[in-house]
Amino acid sequence: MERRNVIKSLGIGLLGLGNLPSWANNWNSGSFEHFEFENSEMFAKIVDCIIPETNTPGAKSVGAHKYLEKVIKDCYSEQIQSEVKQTLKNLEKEAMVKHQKSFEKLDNLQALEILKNNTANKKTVDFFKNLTIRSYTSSEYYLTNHKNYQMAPAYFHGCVAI
Amino acid sequence: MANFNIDSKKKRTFDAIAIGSGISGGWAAKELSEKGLKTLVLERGKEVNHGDYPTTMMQPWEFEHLGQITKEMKDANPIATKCYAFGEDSSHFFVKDAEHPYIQEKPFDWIRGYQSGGKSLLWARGTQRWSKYDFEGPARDGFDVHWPIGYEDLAPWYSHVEIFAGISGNKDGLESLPDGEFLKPHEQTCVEKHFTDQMRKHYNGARPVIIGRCAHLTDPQPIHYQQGRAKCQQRDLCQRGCPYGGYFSSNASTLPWAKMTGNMTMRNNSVVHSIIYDEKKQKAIGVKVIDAITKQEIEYFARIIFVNGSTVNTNIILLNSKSSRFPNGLGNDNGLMGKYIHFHNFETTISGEYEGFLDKKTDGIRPNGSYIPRFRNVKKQETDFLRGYASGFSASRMEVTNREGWGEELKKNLFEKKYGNWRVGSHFMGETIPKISNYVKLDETLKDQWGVPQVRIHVEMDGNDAKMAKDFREQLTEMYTLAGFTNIKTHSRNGWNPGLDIHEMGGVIMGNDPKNSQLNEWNQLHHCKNVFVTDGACMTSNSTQNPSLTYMALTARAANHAVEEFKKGNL
Repeated sequence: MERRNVIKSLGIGLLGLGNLPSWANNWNSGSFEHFEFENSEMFAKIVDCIIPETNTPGAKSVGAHKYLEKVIKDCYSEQIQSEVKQTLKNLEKEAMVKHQKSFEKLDNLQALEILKNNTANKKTVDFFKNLTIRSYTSSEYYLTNHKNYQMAPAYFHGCVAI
Repeated sequence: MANFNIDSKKKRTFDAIAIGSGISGGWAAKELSEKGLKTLVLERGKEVNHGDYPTTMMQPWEFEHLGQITKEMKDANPIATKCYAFGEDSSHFFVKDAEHPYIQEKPFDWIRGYQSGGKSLLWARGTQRWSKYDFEGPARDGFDVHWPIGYEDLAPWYSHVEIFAGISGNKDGLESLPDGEFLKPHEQTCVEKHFTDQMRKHYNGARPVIIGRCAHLTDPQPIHYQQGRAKCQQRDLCQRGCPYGGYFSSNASTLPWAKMTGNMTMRNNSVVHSIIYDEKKQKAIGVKVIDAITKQEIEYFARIIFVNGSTVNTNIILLNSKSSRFPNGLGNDNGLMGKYIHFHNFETTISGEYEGFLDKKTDGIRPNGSYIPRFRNVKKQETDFLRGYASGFSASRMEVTNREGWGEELKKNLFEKKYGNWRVGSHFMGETIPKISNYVKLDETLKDQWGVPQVRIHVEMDGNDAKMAKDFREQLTEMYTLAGFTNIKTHSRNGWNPGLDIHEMGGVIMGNDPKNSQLNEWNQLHHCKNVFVTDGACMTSNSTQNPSLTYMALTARAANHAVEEFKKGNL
């Protein structure tokens, strides 16, 4: 919101950014329908054990689990989606065998142990890790606190000391 | 009833009509209406006023797929989604494949933007003047058709459009790339400067490397504030549309300017079916429009018609404008209209690293890169292929994310501050030779949903293109090696087809001889002088510059000629 206020104070808000034509308001409609995997709680546990909460926010607080679910459903092939479902099943099975508990009920160390050592689904587990990192490193928390992200820097210096 | 018809026709009659509101149509609208002509601008796509940019203020984390295109979108649009600028933030400004079908006799990636401003919202904004060597090229190298104008004819019009559009650049004093009316240039990075210095040393000035010239307001002047535009904020999110008007687009610049004159009427959702030719008057008298939504047919009338529909669409409109006098399309007496389609070859790239300047980095964002003007065959033939290529050059340094480990260890690693080597890279932009065998033509039976014949596109690369791409890989490898770069790799862009350059040109080309060209030195159809073509279709050859600036200058020049002739009563 802050950025928008800056824009307004520059007088650029007069362009009618808040008053877009109907095609523009609908540009993304239809993409909000929800698809639930059979065990969507698992994503929360998966991202939480990959990048946990400490004294700083972890992947779950930036919503990485929602992103994983959304992006896998919307952007990847049926083949990959079925590998994902199979992997979730296998993780669940292993949680039951080892701890007699559902995967999502494990503590983070137990969950991570199962995730890391899952060699049969290594490709999919790495895929989860990559998506979790992507979500975390694109988050407002990470970009503004760590990357010094600015949307509109209005300058460029080609050669500065580190 | 009769009176009603006369009134209605009067309301549909203007001094001039511009077909298309993209980068060249916007200029036709501006020049014609500014000089007092009542001008109708017909745009086939939806209305997008300056500011109607739904994603422009969105933060990266606000995109639900973080910028990634959905599978549904990709599957439905195998062509449009190949475009580098097509993303979650910009897909609404691209034509979707299924809505506007065409027939590929050879693979051709036709990228289109149907809305007010056309592709001027989406362009890459590189703006270099042609030099006399570029205009003289076709005659020197024996092309079928030669330019009817030279650099001196266009130079004042380059100045005219540069001042208004706002072009940033450095006065480099190069014969092969004339200086323009520049706003302050962007800065090169340490490694780009290093490369410039090394190339000067090794090639004695024969291979200059300069900061790119681009349509960004680095230092806005009163003329830009009068358009309602402000300084470029260096976000590099241009494909979303710019709320500041920081880069040039029809939406931010020429269209609102034309509107302010009170002489321009803009009609969106207006698919031009054909141009109406009057056999008695022996000139074009108007256009037949199909409303894109209601499919209703409407005719508009004017004494001057500018065709700026974008290269392929301009060809379609003229080929579809059939009359007893012109059974093969308006102005097409020689049967060559639609032939000599040409493009820029982008099928190869090179990348590398530099292990110096490790105590330095860049800061901020630059919507631009460095540029290597054509150095091959500029003044005389030197190689076993004709013509040459321009190249981009950029060197940047990114933080490297350490992705090792799991859990708390991974989290700690992600917050490590570490820089990798400088990364360098160049793209290739090769001149192609216009040939009669590369063409577009109308399909005899298939039509689009507005009753306009579908186009068949037949454009291929040839042996000259392959030799030139090989030379780029060899020469740039040599240059990168001399500069001390490492890990040098050349790449072939798999699946790159003509069209993906979005620099398709020709089909209705300029020339002195009506036997082999369609347009005279003022962009008028040789055989129907009140019809002007000033978009990519008019280009006799393509040279190695990004073409938009030349379309703008040709349009302004032709429009001012049209106004003079109109006032003399010659049109």
